[in-house]
Amino acid sequence: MPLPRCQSPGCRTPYSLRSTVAAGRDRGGLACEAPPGSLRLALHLTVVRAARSRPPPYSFVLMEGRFLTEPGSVHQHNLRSLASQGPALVLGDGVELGFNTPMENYNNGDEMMVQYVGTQSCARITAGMWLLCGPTTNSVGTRLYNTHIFDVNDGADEVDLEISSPIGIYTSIANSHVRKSGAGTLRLKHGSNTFRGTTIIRNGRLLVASNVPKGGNSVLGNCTADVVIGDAGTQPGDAPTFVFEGSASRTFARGVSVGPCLGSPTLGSISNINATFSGALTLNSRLRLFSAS
Amino acid sequence: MTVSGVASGAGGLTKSGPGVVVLTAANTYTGVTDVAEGTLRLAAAERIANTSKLRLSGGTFDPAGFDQSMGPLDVDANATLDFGAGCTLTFADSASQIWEGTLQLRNWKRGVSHLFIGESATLSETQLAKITSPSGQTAAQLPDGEVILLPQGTLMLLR
Repeated sequence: MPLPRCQSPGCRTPYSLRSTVAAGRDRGGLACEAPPGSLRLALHLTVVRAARSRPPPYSFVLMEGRFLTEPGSVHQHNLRSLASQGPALVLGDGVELGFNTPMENYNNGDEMMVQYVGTQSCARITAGMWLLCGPTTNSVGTRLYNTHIFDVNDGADEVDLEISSPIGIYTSIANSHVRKSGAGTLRLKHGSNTFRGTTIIRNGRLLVASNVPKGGNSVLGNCTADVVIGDAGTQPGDAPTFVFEGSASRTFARGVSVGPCLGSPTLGSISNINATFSGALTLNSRLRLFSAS
Repeated sequence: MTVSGVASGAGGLTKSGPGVVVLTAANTYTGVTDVAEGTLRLAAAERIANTSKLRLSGGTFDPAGFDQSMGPLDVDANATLDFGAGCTLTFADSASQIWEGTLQLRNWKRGVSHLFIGESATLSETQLAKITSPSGQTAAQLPDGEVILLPQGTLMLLR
């Protein structure tokens, strides 16, 4: 029996839902007819217990609704689209994503992108392990890195993309840089992420409510390198920003490097808290220190 | 908010937001120190490289009673220098700076607080006219470059 086609407007590729969407919930699985391409869900749809799609899509475009895994499920969707081929994951207004999501690329220097394109309400990644796959080392033991980009549009909400899930790595010694781009706000809520690479804020705001130690798992991963606020890709009018939020005292022990850039890099706190930045600040451009109190 | 790491490099710092930022390290950056909003406070003497220009474009520069030497002083908007319990602030010659705002000297006390701008009386009358105190005192510059507030009603001819 032929699979019913995805009914979402703008569906660009022939992926289909295996089962009929009843009352806005799909308890079956997903199937796609042929990769590469995107699975696009643009209905007010909650997909529960989304089985591994076969063959797997290279990317997801989730414009509305919730895409979740039932408790106890270990299903995952490996996303493989390189940034040069388009975002591996596109999230729209109010989307909630909650299943294991490896961003699967192991090549030195490659880039993969998650993109929030909404204009109104925050998208949330609420459950499952967000895995940044990456290369390990070369033959002489030097670490190799790929880069995972979070490109966040500046919508109406104060926070545009919120990631509560832990951000892990695969393999266990993989190395990935994380780069924030886009004018919107990315909130990282998990305080014990394990990714091993530099955090680079090229544009927009990175909002955290956890300490940033130098080494050890943290909201900015397990890394001792400086956090980069503004780099060569930062454009005039861009405002790469790292700020603490919350109600408790916060310490930022890593260094901060402000690259030669054309925007307005900012470091500080938007909450009425005692924030301490104890790492060295390397200023190749002007840095704005923002203190709300 | 406290910045205890050393800030270095050719860039500068801008204090923004209504709160307080305290610099505790002996910083070596050489760019402009800009106080745009709120308060930039020092935790000890000479926390900022003495070549860094201080630009006050709003807000308060508060050395918290510690001495500090800096490059030229520019006043881009109404702003405050707070001498606290008393200190010496020394700026390079600033005659070439175009001051567009009023500079209020808070907690300045004759003989306790010292403000040197250059090593001679080079501030223009226009610049001096922009220096005041919370009580509306006027300022004068002595031949050694020190700027003082005059008791209200004083007419002082120094040049």
